[in-house]
Amino acid sequence: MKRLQRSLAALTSLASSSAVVALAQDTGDRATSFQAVSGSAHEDVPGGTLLVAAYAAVLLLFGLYVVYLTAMQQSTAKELTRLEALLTKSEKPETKKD
Amino acid sequence: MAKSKPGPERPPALLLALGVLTAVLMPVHLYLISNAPIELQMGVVQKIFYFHVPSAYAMYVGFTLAMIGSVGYLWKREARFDALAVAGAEVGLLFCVIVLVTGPLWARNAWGTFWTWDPRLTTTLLAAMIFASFVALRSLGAAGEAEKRFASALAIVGFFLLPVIHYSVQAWRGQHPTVITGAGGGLHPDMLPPFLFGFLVFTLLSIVLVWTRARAEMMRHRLAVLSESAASEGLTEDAT
Repeated sequence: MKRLQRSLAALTSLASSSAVVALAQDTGDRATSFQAVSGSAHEDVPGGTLLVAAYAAVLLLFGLYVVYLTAMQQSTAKELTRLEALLTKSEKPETKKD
Repeated sequence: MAKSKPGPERPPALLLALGVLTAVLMPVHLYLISNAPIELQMGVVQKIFYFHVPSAYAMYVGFTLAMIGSVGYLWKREARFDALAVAGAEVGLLFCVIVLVTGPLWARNAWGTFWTWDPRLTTTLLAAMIFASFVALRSLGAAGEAEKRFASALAIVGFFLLPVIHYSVQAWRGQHPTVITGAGGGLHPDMLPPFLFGFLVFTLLSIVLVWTRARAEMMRHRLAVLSESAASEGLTEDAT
């Protein structure tokens, strides 16, 4: 039991000391205080980039939809022509009989 | 056998003319946007407004046509109404997606976040989900009578969200700007030309897209009729 307590205490002290070391290393990269300014000092995301991205997205979506529409129309037209030819061919012998 | 016009039809001259006109006017709109004044508080990102708002308007047009087509289909059971409903829903959804993409890009700069559960944003997302369900329902294989009727009901329900989207800002107060519909300061006179021109371009674009999509849907309807005829004449194996 004493051995278990000792090993637990050793583990706890090891964990706490490594956490302290990690904290000390991290504070260099992390903000440690907040300071207020009146209004935004600068844009963190440039508005021009967002504007261009938005218009590019619009053009991309239109382009994709037009490609989808064209592909759908072409495949439907092809299938229609094939079916119509097939049905016309099957009708011809009947008309000859009449 | 059900008679139908032979071969795929050529697009009408008016549709072609409108398509060419739209293709010419789009770069002009872009030129007007680039020459529009920069907004005092939001900066250059505010120019998204010139195609974000017309897209929202085109979305309303598409969803309204979907509702008209759906009511017409439920009433008359005619293929042309069904084609109008499908075309309106699909084109409306396209513009809705544009609104939901361009809006967050603007919001990232103006509000500091891409998305917030603002009433107008939330109701627009809800409308997008309803019409996406419509499009998904009609895209999964050959739509039968039950699917068509259910989709029509969805479009009618979705249509009633449009006034909710429009008046949500006034009714529930949100972060969304109300420059046009609210009692704000309105637009600077120099901002009006690109804005109004945007409405013209996106109206033409929505007409061209809805018309083209409706024609494609009518062709698909003809194809379904012909496939049925082929099947009834025992040509199914050859037809498929």
